[in-house]
Amino acid sequence: MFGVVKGPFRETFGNTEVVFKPTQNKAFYRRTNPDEEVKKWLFMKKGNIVIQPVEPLSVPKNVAKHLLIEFEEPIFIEPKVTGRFYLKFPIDIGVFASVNKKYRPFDVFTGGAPKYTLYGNPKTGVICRHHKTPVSLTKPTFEPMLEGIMSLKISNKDDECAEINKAVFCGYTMKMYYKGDLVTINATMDIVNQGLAQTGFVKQRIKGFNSGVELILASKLQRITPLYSMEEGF
Amino acid sequence: MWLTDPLYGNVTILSLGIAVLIALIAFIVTRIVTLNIRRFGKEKLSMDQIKMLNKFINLGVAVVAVIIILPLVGIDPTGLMVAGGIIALVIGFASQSIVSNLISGLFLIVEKPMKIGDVVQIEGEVGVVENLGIMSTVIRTLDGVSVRVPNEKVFTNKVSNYVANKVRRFEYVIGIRYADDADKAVEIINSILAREPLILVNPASEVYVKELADNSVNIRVLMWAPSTEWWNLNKKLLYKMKTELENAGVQIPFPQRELWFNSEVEAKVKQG
Repeated sequence: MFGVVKGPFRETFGNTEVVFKPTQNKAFYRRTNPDEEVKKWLFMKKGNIVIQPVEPLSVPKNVAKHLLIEFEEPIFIEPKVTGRFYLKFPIDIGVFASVNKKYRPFDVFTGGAPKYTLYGNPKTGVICRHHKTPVSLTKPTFEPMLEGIMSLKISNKDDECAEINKAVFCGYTMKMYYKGDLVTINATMDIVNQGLAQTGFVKQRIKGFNSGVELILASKLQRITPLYSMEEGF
Repeated sequence: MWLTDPLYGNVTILSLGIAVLIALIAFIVTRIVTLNIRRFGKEKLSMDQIKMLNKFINLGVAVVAVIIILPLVGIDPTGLMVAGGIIALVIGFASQSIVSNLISGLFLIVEKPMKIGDVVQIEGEVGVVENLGIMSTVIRTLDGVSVRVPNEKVFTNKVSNYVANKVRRFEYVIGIRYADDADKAVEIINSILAREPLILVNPASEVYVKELADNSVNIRVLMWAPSTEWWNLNKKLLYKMKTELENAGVQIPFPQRELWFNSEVEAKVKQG
């Protein structure tokens, strides 16, 4: 469950178990999965431990800045038409120490099986976190703590029909919102022409949902444009 | 006119003024050019390369400005240039390799076959690029030795940059017994690759029977990984495949030979 951890805590996220044992000002944190075990001692007086969904870009290593969502069923869209679809996207879990309203991550993991891929050619392409998802017209069922639901608005601004098999997003600009186990994100994809599509995220708070902590603060990074141009096919 | 009255020799206040103006223009031009190189070059060049390029521009413009200014202040540059030419010729012969390294360094800045931090192979030495100088390139070999390679050698030899591309492919050949099920072995290897996060989905891996060899059925495994990660994966996956294949009853055979005798062979067997 996302939010502030109060008292002893034991939770399973997919294939990963997280245990948090507080004693006075100190706490012991342990995360185990089939491949690794992480143990940490925490000394905190005023701070809190917060578990939040974060951008799926850090596990097992920071090799990617982009997220590629591959559609199980391609979307065929006629010219000058806009449609909304629901997809599932992977989430990583960030464990933060929150002190004076500042969040500092001390562990990031996923309970799923992350996979990476290349979008474009080996020289100029980008390495992306890969996720294959069915495409739905209504909000799909999802695996809590492993997946979130993306609402994707696709607009074909070209004069030709387009078939869309995947969408690539700049992961640094992801803005997730959560409520209970449900993590959502709003995204757009504009088909500009047969060789170019632009994708981006909509930062608009949803009523009743909490705003997720951004592991990578895009606003602090220079030269991060909110839109990603897909020029190597979609 | 007092402006054109000679002060000494042919030098007038006007010519001195022009000389000062030329020096000022040269200063302004170098400032504009170097500032723009600093501003627009930082995406494509390293800080060291920018500094080096700016030094060359400062020097070049200064030399041209001095040659223009000298006659204006009453110094005939012809003699200097002849003397300079002879000195340059002598120095040139004496320092052919230095000049060659220098020119190669400039070409390397333009061509950019590598950058600091890249893993490269130059002249048989594999290492991480530590410094790209105007005269030489320094690489730290994988066993921690610093090697200085003159730029002439870098420019004229083959340079392999292992991280120039985002991804790279690596491969194994795994031999299994003729008695084993090759399809099952391929399936096990594919499942290991599917579970490994950093083996890329695209470009896709390929696993197939490559050869019916003397002692084994050879399976070729081709995988793609991020260039920064392939070595760790290369070290890790081969043994994992061996272990999982053996756990599933697929054996990696030793070389073996069957001997047939034309005539009967008597054998004495000692018991006890």
